[in-house]
Amino acid sequence: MIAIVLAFGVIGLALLHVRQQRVNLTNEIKVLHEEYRHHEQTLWQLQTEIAVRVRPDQIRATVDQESVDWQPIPMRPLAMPAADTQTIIEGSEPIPYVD
Amino acid sequence: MSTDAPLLTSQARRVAYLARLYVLGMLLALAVIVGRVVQLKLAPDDRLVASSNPTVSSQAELGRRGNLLDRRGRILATSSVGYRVFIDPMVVDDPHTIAVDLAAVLNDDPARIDQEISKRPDSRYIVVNHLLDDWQVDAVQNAKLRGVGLEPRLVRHYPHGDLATSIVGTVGFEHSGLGGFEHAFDTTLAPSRGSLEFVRDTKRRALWIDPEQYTPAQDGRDIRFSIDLVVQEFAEQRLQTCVDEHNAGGGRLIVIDCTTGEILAMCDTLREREGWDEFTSDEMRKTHPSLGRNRCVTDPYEPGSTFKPFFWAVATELGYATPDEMLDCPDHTGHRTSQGRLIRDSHYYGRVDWQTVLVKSMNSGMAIVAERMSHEELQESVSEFGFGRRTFCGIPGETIGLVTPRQKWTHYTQTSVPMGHEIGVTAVQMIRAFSVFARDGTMPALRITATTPDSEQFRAVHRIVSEETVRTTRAALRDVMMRGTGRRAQSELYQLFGKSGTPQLPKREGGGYHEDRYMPSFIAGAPFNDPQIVVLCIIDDPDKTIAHYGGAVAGPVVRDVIDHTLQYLGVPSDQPTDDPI
Repeated sequence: MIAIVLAFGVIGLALLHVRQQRVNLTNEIKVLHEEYRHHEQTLWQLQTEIAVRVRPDQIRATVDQESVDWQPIPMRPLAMPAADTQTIIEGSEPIPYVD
Repeated sequence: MSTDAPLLTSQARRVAYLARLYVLGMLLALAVIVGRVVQLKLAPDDRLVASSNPTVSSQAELGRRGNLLDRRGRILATSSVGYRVFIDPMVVDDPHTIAVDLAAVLNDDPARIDQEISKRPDSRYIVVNHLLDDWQVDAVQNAKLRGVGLEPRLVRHYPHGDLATSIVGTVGFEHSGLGGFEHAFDTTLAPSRGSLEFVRDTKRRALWIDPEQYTPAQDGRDIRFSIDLVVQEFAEQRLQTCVDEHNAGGGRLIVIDCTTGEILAMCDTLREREGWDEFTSDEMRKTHPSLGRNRCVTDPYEPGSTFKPFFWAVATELGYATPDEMLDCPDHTGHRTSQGRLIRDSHYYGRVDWQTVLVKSMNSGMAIVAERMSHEELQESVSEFGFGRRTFCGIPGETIGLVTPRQKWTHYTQTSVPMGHEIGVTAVQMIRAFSVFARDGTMPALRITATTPDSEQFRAVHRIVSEETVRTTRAALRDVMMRGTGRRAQSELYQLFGKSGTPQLPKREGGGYHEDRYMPSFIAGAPFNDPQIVVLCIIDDPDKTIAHYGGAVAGPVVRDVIDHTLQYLGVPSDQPTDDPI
């Protein structure tokens, strides 16, 4: 009888412990989720600040101060093809732009 | 032995009795506990229910609106999270003092906050401030005022201020696009809101998220445009300087990469000036610069002499004239057409060749050759160059311009259109058509978005004239710069080819043109042997006492923009060092 009572007690405690662990875990998920959202929003804020601080006119002013000889970036950073590689559609309408 | 046996029996009996009693007690205690558990589970007390039941709260998840980027990935518009503060009067400790308390925290006017609360006494959501500063957010959080809450919201930022504002547009209060790209690409840019349900404790602190009840927010997609901020910035400044210097009503300017059809810069400025009522017809622009219409795509204008190269190229292509063919142009009075119409020139040169007709921008020579061509051929060529049709460049509000319908096309039209009269074109139509001379005779599809190189749309072009005709026309347009109306727009760095136009300003009420008001324009491409860009500039109604010819007013703007853009793009100078300019 004592063994049964003790066994029930141990099982009960174990179940309570598992339940508490689950509660702790889900709570931790919530905390992490909030942290993630906070970091994401901070990242958005930082991106905005970077965009403001690297405006071309500000970069130009900085470069002028440093007296560095900068070279222009070559044309077409998207590596676009030259005109001779384009498809010529004789007598056709230009294809309308659709986003 | 005999005396110990009864003693043991008695002890054993007592132990057994106590053990039974203990077990009974334990069972009774367990029964009570189980009974209590059953009672709590089946019929708990109301107060217990109120405090023990987990409370579920829902919360909206903010998604980020997509960024607008220029061709090199610079941010034109982006979003971040800001906070608004609201009051729930039903929850506040003392509704009479909350305005004072919150005002002290926000460094605001308590009377204003009290007024906000009084406006909607029954509401449980009264916004006091729609966008707090960072220090105000911290102050509200630290103050822990009951009934006062912070709500996150998206805030749109335009890091470059008013630069390119007429094409970037703006967003409204609910972060939806109201004008420009923001409106045109609203569906792509807009995020989808997510939702989150979480269990909270009695103090409203979040305990855990219910995974089944979590819908993540989806951020909007970024869009990269073909605009280059550096080119745009210089173009806007140069255009504004010209408009101010000439006391003009406004101006338009477009820069395109003629090899791809991408729009690198697009400017549209209006200036309040006495006698120039164009501004009053764009009331939305007064509300916000980004809400005005983009006249580069919406407002057609009469191109005047800048239209002549198109007719010149078509007439040459079809064999109605050759560049060295001599034409009997008038030497002191106007030219009479076969129908008796008098065509005047600004200057008279007498008998000249067909190329000089374009170089000196002679209306009479254009009319002479126009009469050799059939109406259908001229109508067809106007249509082939894309006039009277949208360019579908991706900018909202584009119009098709004004082209006389075939059934109303008369002899008068036939001799007017070649010199750029009786036709209305938009600036984007004009620059797309002119890019034919900067390419190999094909016309590109104009674009405001930066697309991938393998895009079918990107590679689609439309042949208008032969490569030989392009070479001939481009040489004639170079001659315009050397000895024609473009002399004042010559560049020391690059060999330009272009054409000026000085059409008179049509009267708004109809019935002809103003005698002394003009809409000068200039269009040019460069470098001559391997053109990379084409620039068009139109100036609205400059002060004639300062200057009014296209080559003198708009020409220098085009030259400066070409010089700046090509240097910025790293295109080497093609101007011979000993070239006398």
